[in-house]
This record gives sequence, C-alpha cells and structure tokens, in this order.
Amino acid sequence: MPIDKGLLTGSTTTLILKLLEEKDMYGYEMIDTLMHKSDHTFDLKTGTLYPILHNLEKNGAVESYEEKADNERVRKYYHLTSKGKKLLQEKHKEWISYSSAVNKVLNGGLNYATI
Amino acid sequence: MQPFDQIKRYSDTVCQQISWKKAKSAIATEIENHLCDHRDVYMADGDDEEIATDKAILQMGDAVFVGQELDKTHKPKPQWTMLALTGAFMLTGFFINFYLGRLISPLGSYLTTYSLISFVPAFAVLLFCYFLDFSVLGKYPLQCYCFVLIVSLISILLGTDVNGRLEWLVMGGFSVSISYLSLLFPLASALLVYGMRGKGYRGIILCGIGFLPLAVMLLLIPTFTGFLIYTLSAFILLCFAIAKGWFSVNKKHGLLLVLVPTLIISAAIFGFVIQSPYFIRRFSIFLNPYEDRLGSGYVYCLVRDFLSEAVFIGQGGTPRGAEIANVPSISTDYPLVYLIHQFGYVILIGIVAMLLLYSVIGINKALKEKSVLGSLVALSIMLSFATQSALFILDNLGYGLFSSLSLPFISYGKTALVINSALIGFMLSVFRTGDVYRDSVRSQARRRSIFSYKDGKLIINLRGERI
Repeated sequence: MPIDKGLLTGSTTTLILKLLEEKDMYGYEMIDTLMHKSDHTFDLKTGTLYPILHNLEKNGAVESYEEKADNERVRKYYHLTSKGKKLLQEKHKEWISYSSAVNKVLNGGLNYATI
Repeated sequence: MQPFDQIKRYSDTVCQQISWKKAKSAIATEIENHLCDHRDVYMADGDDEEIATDKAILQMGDAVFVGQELDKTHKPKPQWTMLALTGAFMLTGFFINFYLGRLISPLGSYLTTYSLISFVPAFAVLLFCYFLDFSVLGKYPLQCYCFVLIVSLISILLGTDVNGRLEWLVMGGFSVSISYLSLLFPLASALLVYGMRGKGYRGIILCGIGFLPLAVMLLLIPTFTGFLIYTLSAFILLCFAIAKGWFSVNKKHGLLLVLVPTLIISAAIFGFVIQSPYFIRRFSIFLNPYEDRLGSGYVYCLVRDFLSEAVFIGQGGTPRGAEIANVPSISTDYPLVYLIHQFGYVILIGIVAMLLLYSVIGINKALKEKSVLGSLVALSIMLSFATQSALFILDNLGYGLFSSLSLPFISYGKTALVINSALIGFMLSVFRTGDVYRDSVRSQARRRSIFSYKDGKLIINLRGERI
C-alpha cells in the first residue's frame, strides 16, 4: 500500500542513520537497501537523500570518504560517527515515544501492547 | 540529447541553485555518479540507455528543489572569531611597537615608523591568504616542498653573513631575515607527509629522509630555535598522520619506525652536545648566569633581576645600578620584560591567555578538519604559531636556552609579521572552506614498476601503466 510521503519525510534521517549503523554506504546503495528492506514501501526520491546526508555530515553525525570502484567511478561513502550513533539512539527513542502515542490514540486510548 | 548529456544537464541545474562555487564540483560528481549507478541498474534489468537514464533522473526528483536544499547546507564558514583574535593580536603588536619605539627614540625613528607601517601590508596579506584556495597545495604537495627547499637553499647561498651567522637576504630595497624562513618549514613538512600518505612504510621512511635537508639548512644558518620548531612540528605531524592511519600501515609499527630512529638520533645529538665546550658553557650559563654576570650571562641576569622586581599590577622596582631601557634589544627581543616591569605580570597573563585561547581554538579546529590536507596544513601552522610563542615567552622570562624567533604579530620584525600573517591567513582559509575539499583518491590499481618479469619476458614499462 502506498504511504503518505509526509510520514516518510519525518523519519528519513532515522532510517539513514540506522542503515549506516550496519556498514558504510554510498548514496545509491542506501536508497537500494532501504527499498529492499522495506519491500518497496520506502521508495525515496533520491533527491531528498543528499540534502539530509550533507546536513548530517555538516553536523558531524556522519563523515565521508571517497573510494574508486572497480569501474573507476569515484564513490562517496558515508560513515556513522560516535555523534551519529548518539543521534540515532535519540531518534529511536523519539520514534518509539511518538509511534506509541499515535497507536494509543488510534486504538481509542489503549496501548498497542495491551490489545 | 545524449543520455550522459541529460545527466550532466541535471547536475548543472542542481549546481545552479548552489551559491558557493567551491561546493559545486563535489556535489556534481556525487549526483552524476549516483545517476550513472542507478542508470546501470535499470540497464542491467533490460532497459536501453536512454530509458534507463530517464528513469534514474525521474527517481532523483526535481533538480531545482534538490539544489535549493543543498544550498542551505553548503556555505563557507566565515572565521569571525579567529579573524577578530588575529586582529586583536595585530592591534596589540601595533601599540606595543609604537610604545616601545618611543622608548628608543621619543621622536619616532625611521625604523619604528617603517615597522609600524608594515602592519598594513601584513593585514592585507592575511586577508589575501584568507580568500586563497588552499587546495592548490593538495595538487602539488611535493612540488611545494621542493620550492621551499630551493628558496631556502638560494637564501643560504646569497645570505649576508653577520658574526658567523646568516642574517639577511637582500632583495632590491628589501632585506629578509633568513631565520624566519624556518616558520615555513612545518608547512613544507606537512605537505611532504601529505604527498607520502598511503605509501606505507616506504612513505614514512621517505618523510624521515625528506626532513633532513631542511633541518641541515637550519643548522647551517644557524637557528637552533627554528630547528627546534621545525623538528617538533615535523615529528608531531608524522606521528599524527600515522596514528590517523593515513599511511595505511600498522599504527604501532609505524610509530615505532618514527620513535626508535628519533630516540637514537636524539641520544647521539645529546652525546655530541655534552662533549661540546660551547654547549656546556651555554648550558652552564643558562642554569647559573650569575657565574659570568658581566659576560655571557649579562642579559640573563638583567632579565631575571628586573622580573624579580616586577609586581602583579603596576610598575616594579629597579635593581641597583640597572636601567630597564639599557637591557640589550629591549624593544625588539625583550618587549615582554619591559611591559611586565612597567605594568606588572597582569600584562603577561593577558598575552598568554590570548595565545592559549588562540592555540586551543586553532588546534581543535585543525583536528576536526575533514580532509587530510586541511588537517595537516592547519595543524602545521598552529604548531609553528604555538611553539614560537612558547619559546619567545620562555626567553623573555630569562629561561631561553637559545635566542627566540618572534612572538607572532606582537614582537618586532617585519619578515616574521608578514610570514605569520600569510600562514594564519592560509590556516583560516582552510577552516573557511575545508568542508568541501576532498583529498585526491588513489586508485585501487597499482602502478606497474618500470621493470617486471612475466612469462619469460623482461617488460620495461616507461609509461608507468597500471596493472
């Protein structure tokens, strides 16, 4: 089922940080991994990825380095820093709290865990 | 339109939205490579190149929107705090030199006026270097190192000898103090390390070999303070680069490769020094200048005597039979002695606090630089700044083993003022634009050596083609 892009926008940063927690990745690899892991639910417009990535880099949450691929194309890899790991933890907690509150309202005041 | 032209046009549209020119090239490369990666995947799934390119571009989204979003992130970082602090140093230096100049000649001598006017071109040099593109150093690191080497060699060959020491290089109407060239050597050393990065143990050994010619030149001048500043900086930069993994070697082994020869050479130099009558005498005078109060220990005694009479705030007492204005080179080499004696230790505390603040901010920023080049260049300049300041202050407190070079922006000396302004301007340029600089990527493919042997054939590869 296609989902509202607005829902995705708020959580893109968290998803990117989570992907980078597993391993260093370049832009296209992130989009591809995210798409496959979410069974095409998170089919991001690639253009939204780079401003977020560059902003995270500016704030020190990720750092980048370049490596030449086999086809001699230079790829810019992103690596999660310790600051980024902390940010991911905060975003994760924030998401749990937010989703739990949304679920509670949607279920008429009941927590998901109780139904 | 050719498919790649479409990709190019897309990245151009993105870049047109970005106001900072220097950021455009890296962004364009990243966007183009992404589109090519995505296009290749579509082509592997059976699309022809044109359709695959269209799909990849469509997936990327609106180029104008992407560019506008990236523009919000990519702005040069003006270094207002560091510029203000540098300006404060220059103003402090200007007023101190003006004040001390009146001490020598109440009416103001030609030399004093000339020295004060030199703050104007020095500030212009600072601003010029602040707006320079430091990335040119990354394109030609070893050439820059060789340039410093050649300039130093020419200076030594053409320098004017004064009492067995090379003092000046006269060029047209200008005379440049040769000792101050040593302030450029830490930067040359940083560029050598940058040029050798990724070359493994061979690179570390070549850095050690490359250290020697400049060190020998400093000993030929001779300037032991310059030698100390250069050696300390080169050592720290090399260890820093190894510890960061920039030589692609086992860090422990790499550091041992630097530390062991350094310790052996230091021990050999120490062995030579303790047998040299000149150094024994010098060290003995340093420890107890009063044993030759009217000879080699004269300046040490005067400085220590005046400082022992100084108070925290206000004018200090005067040792019997001495006059502060009669301390040799008081306005040029010992300005802090005069200021401490006249106004109290509070002046020293103020200047040291400013220098410490500047050094801490500068070194912290240098360590946070994202590129290897930016980090090495900025760190080398800060090391040069911090060590020359520390040695100058020690000398002014009566505990300098060798004559100091300068107190950046504050002490007398036009050559030092201009060189320090250029270096600091360059460092601030790194902090301003370093975020978008990318170190050149070395290909995974190794170059074939000139001679190789394969299938019973001796291959001579003059073009240096890759394997």
